[in-house]
Amino acid sequence: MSGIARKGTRYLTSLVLIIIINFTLPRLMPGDPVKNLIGEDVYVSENVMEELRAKLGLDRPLYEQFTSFLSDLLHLDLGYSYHLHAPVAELLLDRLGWTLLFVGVSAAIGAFMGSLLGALAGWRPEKKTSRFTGLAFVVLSCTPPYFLALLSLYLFSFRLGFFPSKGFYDAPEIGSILHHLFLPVCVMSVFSASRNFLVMRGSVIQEKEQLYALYARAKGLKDISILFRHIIKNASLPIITLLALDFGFLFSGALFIEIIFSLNGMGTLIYGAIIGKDYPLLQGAFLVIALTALIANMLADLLYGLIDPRVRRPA
Amino acid sequence: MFSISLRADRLSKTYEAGLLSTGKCIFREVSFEIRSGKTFGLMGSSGEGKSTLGRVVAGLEKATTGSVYYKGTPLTLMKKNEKIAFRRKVQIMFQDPTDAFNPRKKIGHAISEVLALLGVPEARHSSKTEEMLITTGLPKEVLSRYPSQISGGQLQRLALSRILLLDPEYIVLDEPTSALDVSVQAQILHMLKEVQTERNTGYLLISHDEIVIRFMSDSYGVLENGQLKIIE
Amino acid sequence: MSPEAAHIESSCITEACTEEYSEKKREISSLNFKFPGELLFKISGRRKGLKGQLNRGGIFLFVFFLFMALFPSFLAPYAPNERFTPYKEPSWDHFLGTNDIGNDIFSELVYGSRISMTVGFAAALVSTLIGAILGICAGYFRGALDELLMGFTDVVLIIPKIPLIIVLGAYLQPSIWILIPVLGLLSWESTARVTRSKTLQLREAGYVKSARCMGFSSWHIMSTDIFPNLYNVLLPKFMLATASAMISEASLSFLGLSDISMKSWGTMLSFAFFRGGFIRDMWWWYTPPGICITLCIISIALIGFGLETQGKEHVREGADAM
Repeated sequence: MSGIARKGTRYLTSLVLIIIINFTLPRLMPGDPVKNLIGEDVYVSENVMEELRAKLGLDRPLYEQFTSFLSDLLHLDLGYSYHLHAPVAELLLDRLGWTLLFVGVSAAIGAFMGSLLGALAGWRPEKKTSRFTGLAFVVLSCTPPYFLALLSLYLFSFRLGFFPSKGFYDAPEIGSILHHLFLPVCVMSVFSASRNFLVMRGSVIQEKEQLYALYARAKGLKDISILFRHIIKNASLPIITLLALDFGFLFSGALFIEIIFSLNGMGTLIYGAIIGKDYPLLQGAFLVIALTALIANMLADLLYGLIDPRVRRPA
Repeated sequence: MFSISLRADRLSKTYEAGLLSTGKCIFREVSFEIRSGKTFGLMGSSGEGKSTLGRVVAGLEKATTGSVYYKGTPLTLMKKNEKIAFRRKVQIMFQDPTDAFNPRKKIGHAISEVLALLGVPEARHSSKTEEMLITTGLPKEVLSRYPSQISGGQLQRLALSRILLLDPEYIVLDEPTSALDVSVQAQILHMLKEVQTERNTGYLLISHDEIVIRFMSDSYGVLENGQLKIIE
Repeated sequence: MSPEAAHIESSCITEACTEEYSEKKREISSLNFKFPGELLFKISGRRKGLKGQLNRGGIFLFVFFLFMALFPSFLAPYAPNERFTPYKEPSWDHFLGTNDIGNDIFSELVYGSRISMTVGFAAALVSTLIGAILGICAGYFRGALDELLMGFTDVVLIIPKIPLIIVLGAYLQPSIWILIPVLGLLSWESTARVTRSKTLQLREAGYVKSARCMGFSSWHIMSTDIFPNLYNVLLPKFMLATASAMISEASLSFLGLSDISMKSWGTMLSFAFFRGGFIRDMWWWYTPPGICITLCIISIALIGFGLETQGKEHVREGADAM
């Protein structure tokens, strides 16, 4: 039981830490906290500043501010973006859906492709194709994500004109969406795949040497079927955790790709907030992203515990 | 019971059941006494826990229950300066001499370190080191060598002389000769005996070799199944 | 993928072997680059020649970039701030043309290596030092301190770094002196883990026990006995941390969160995209910096791996010290 208690404490502490960071950051950063809380390039007169100061509770003691902050959170109030004249929560929710769609699809495709190729490469690491794919994926992992996006945008969109270069859709119908999303999803999947490829490959290589694989071969099973019937199940364990945990990384990476492809997801929203110094929006975005990562981690832990019988066995 | 002695009083050590292992009782209710100038031998087959007992007596590990008494005070109740004194006066010599020296430090450096710890001014380091080398009968060249470049027997002698620099009252000898050639073993044992006569040091000799125990000890005990049976 | 993803810090399989199984999955997931290295050496493992070639290739590339960073005037024809006619195409005068305010792109590229690599190494230094210190303390003192530090590491591990850096970057003045510590402060976890493992091993060595017995202070033992024996663990981590920091820096510069006065490769890419280089089809502007970043990182990663695989044998032996 202490294992679960420990994990629970870990996640709880992370949650608390995230919330604390979110709370203290605008109050800690240099400059007028009012400005920090409403965003830089917002022009307000002195009177309005005073009003805001009172409204934001900056003249009240710290613990009061914190409690009101917490209650706001529980009411899903993440502040107001004076820059874009809308509550932060609304703005984020709007864009979040798209980004999640984008990331989810890419992660799934990438995981599938990567695992498949990785398993094959791990099974026969000496073959030329294995080496080649391996090398290719290594190079891809070293490339900054947006650079690859840039290149593909250039090549496939501008030069060859295969795909449109902007936005999620021209007309809100499935065909248009697919057309627009194809390239970004490809790029994102490639990155997701590269991580999965490498993990799967390593995993298969390790599992290959276990006794049960040798036994299967002794039984006379044909080559590839050993791979698929026995090894894959065990080798997949790290992939499952990787998938859930990767979510945080993929999310961050997606932001950049969205910017390149001018997709209306969280990426462009955040970029706009950076330029406009829209702090409340950035804070809210950070909170949402961090929480998503936290949840993904927890799910991964849970999933792993359920799937791997070795971990479940009592000590 | 002499108040000067180093005494173990009903020591037990148990490893609790953890995530990966079941609990294990290493030894239970072990009591014995080491007197100045005398050797107490500790015998038992390998893996019985003799080394652990030695480490507990030397203060490197804590016992689960029971105490080690030094000069009448139990370790756990010692004040800071008493603890420091204890540290100096009770030393331990390990089985593997190559392990006793940091492989990246030259012997000369290792000795100087100890001298510096003792507060010997740097100017006198070389003379003190020479003294030490003469007493142990080792050539001067060892100072500029690394531990890997010196033979096991010489290293063990160096380990002993390094310990002697601290002028200890008690030394826990954990299988001092097991890692050495037969020809060298006798040398080391004789050296230990000499030191004992000269300095009136008390030894806790741990060994699985009965001959060594009989040669060196005034009294000894056998550690079996966690219990100590004192003989003689 | 985001800089974290390309987070070339690998927590390594070696760790997975030495630590409890339940931690293994966490390690594997928060890892990534371990595999390319393993991959490379397995790819090249069968034939010594190829392995050697890859290794040497990595070193050669790295030295080349280092040279570029240390002696830019040798390679760059002009100063990066000199202005000529903007938006020029590549020519003999300007190998890579000029950017939107007329700077020679090739010179920018050469000088940019300085910034990118400096930030990379400096941030890696910070992160390695922090990780090493925390790891040594956790491993040496064990008990409550160990639990505390490792728990702290675990907690920090979950927080997504890039969004945090973005928020911080937006608040603070973008400057190199802020960027470096921030990058360093957010990537020490893996180093701390590995250092802790190794320290736990080293702690059991006879000479450490003797030293404790003789009464040396903990500080003395940690600095003279344990730390010097950590080099072969710290060095590969340092290289990998550099590669990771470089990707992070490139991503942040792209968003405009880095020092604009110091033109790193990432900043060049940012300018190229946001100041009309892309629209005007100036591939000679945005492709070279990207390629440089990729090649530089690959070379560093290769070296880091080479060092790590060397060290692996030693770690494997002591793998059951826990």
